[in-house]
Amino acid sequence: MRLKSTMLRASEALPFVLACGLAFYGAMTISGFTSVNNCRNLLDVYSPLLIVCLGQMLVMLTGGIDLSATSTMALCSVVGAKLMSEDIGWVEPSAASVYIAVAAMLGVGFCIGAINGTAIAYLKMPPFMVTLTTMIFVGGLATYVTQSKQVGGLPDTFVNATTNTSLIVIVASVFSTCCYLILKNHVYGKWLFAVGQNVRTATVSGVPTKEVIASSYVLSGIASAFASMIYTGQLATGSPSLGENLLLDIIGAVVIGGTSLFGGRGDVRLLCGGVLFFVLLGSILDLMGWSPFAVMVAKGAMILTAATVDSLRARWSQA
Amino acid sequence: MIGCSNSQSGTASANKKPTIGVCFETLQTEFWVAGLDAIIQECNERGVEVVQAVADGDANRQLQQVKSFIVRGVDGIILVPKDTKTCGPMIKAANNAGIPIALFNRPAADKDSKCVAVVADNLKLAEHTTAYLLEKAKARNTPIKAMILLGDLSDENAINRRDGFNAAVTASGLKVDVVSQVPTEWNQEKAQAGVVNGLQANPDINLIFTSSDFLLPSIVSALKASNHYFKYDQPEHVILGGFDGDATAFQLLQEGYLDATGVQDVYFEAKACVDSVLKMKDKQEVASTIADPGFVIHRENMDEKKKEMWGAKSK
Repeated sequence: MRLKSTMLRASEALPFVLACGLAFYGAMTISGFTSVNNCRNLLDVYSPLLIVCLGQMLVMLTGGIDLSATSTMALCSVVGAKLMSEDIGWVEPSAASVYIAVAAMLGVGFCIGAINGTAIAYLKMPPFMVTLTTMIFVGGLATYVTQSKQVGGLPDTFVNATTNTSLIVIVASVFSTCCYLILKNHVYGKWLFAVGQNVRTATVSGVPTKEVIASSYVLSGIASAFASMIYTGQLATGSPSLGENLLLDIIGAVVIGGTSLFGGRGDVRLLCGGVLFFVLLGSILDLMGWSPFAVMVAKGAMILTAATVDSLRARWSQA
Repeated sequence: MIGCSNSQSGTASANKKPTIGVCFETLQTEFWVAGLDAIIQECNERGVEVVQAVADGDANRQLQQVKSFIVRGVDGIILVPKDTKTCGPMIKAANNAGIPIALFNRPAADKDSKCVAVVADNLKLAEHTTAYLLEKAKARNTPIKAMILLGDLSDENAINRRDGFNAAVTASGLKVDVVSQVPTEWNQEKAQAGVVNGLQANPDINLIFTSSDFLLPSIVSALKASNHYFKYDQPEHVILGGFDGDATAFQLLQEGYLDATGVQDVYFEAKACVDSVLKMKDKQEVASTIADPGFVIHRENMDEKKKEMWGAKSK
C-alpha cells in the first residue's frame, strides 16, 4: 500500500520527468540544443500551445471536449489579418487597426465559445458533436472568407509584439498562473471539478452547472484567440489553415499533462509539464535529423508510452 | 541574382562534409516522396549530409523546423513551403543567419527575400496539357463539357495550373462549357465527393483535367461509380488529363484511361536546388528563379518520354 502511494506520488511528476529526460538527452547529444537561440525557439512553440491547452483543460475538467479550438484559431487569424492587413485590410491601416483586429479576434473566440457553451449546457447537446460541427462550420467560414488565400501584409507593430519571446512568455505565464489560482483557490475552480466528477451531484449541491459548463467553452474560445494571435504573428500571415493539424497535439498534451478525458481531474502544473514534453519531443526529433518516417513512428511510440503510463497512474489513484 | 554569405555556420569547418537541411511541408503524395528521394540521392552523390524534417502541413511547425536547422548550424536549407506567403518568415530567418535557402517546386510571394525558387512553369505545362486534351475532344465532334479539379488556391502552383487550363480553353477557340470546378484543397476525399457530385449534376461531362495526378484515384473511383470509366478507344471515354507525372498517371496512361499529363522533372528540380544551395554557400551568383521546363506525356510520345517521367521510374 505504501509502495503504491509512493509510486502514485512519483508518477504525478511524470510529464516533468519525461520532459527533463528529453531535455537531458537533447543537451547531451545535439549540438546547439542548449543555445540561447534554441531555448528561444522552444519558448516560441511552448507559449501558444500552453495557452490553447489551458483552455482545453478547463473544458475537459467539466467532462467536455473542444474540437473546435483549431478552427477557432483559424477564423480568428483570418478575421484579425483581414482587418489589419496593410495590403487588403478591411479598415484603413493605422495604429488603431491593430487594436481593432485584436479585439475582433478575441470577440470571435468569445462568440464561438459562447455558441459551443450554449448548445452544450443549455440545449444538452453532446460536446463532441457540437464542437465537431462548430469545427467544420468555422473552418469552412475561414476558408470562405479568404477563398483559401493567405492574408499577408500584417503591420509590424502586431508582428513584432507577437514574435517578442519575452512578451509571449509573460502572456502564457499570466494565463497559467490565473488558471492555477482559480482552480486551486477560487470557488469557480471547485465548481469545474465538481461538474466533471458528477454533474447531478454538483447540481444538487447548488453548483450553477449550466453557467460553469458554458463559461468553460467561452474561456477555451478566448484562449484559442490568444494562441491564434501568436501563431498568426509568427507567420506574419493570416491563414485559414492555421493550426489545422494541431488538435491532436493539444488533446495529447492535455491528457499526458494529467487531465482526464472523463472530467474531474487536472492540474495546471502537470499540464505545463505535458506541453513541455510535447514541445521537447518535437524539437529533439527534428534536430536529430532522422528520416521523417522514423520521426513519426518515434513520436507516436513516445506518446503511446506516456499515455499508457498515465493511464496506469490513473488506475492506481482509483484503487 | 542572389549571393549569400555563410557567417553563422560556424560548426561546419572547411574540411567537414557540408550539411543541408531539407524541410518538406508534407510527404503525403508520391510527388513529394520522389522529390525527397531525389534530393537525398543528389546530396549523397555530392558528399553532402542531409537532415530532414516534415511539417505535416503545419506552417508554424515548419518555421520551427527551419529555426532548428539554423540552430544546428546547417550549411544550407531546401524548403518545400506550405504556401507562398507563410514561408516569408522562414526565408527571413535563414537570411538573417546567413544560410542559403532554396525553395523546391513552390515559389515565395515575397520577391524581395533572398532565396532561389526552382519551379516548373505550371501555367505553360497545364496549358499544353489541356491543349492536347481539347485537340482530342475536338476530333470527336461533340459538344465539350469539362470539369476541372482545382488545388489549394493558396498555392501559387494550383492557381497557375487553373490559369493554364483556362488559357488553353480560351486559345482553342472551341466552345467549351466548363460545367464543374471542384475545389479539392489538395484533399482526395473532397476531390472524390466533388467529382461524384459533378457527374451526378452533369452526366454528359466528357473532359476532366485534374491539377494533380495524386487525385486520379479519386477521379477513377467516381468515374467507375457513375459508369463513366472507359478506355480511350471507346465512345463513352471521358478524356482525362493531369499534372505531375506520378506512377498512377503512368499506369493509367499505359492502360488507356488517361490521355495526357504534364510532367514535372523531379530530378532536374532536386539537382538545381542542391546545386544552388552549394553555389550560394560558396558565395557564387545564382538566378533567383530556375524554371523546370517539364513536358507533356501522352499516348503518342509515351515510349519516347517515359524514361524521363519520374512516375514511370518509381513504379
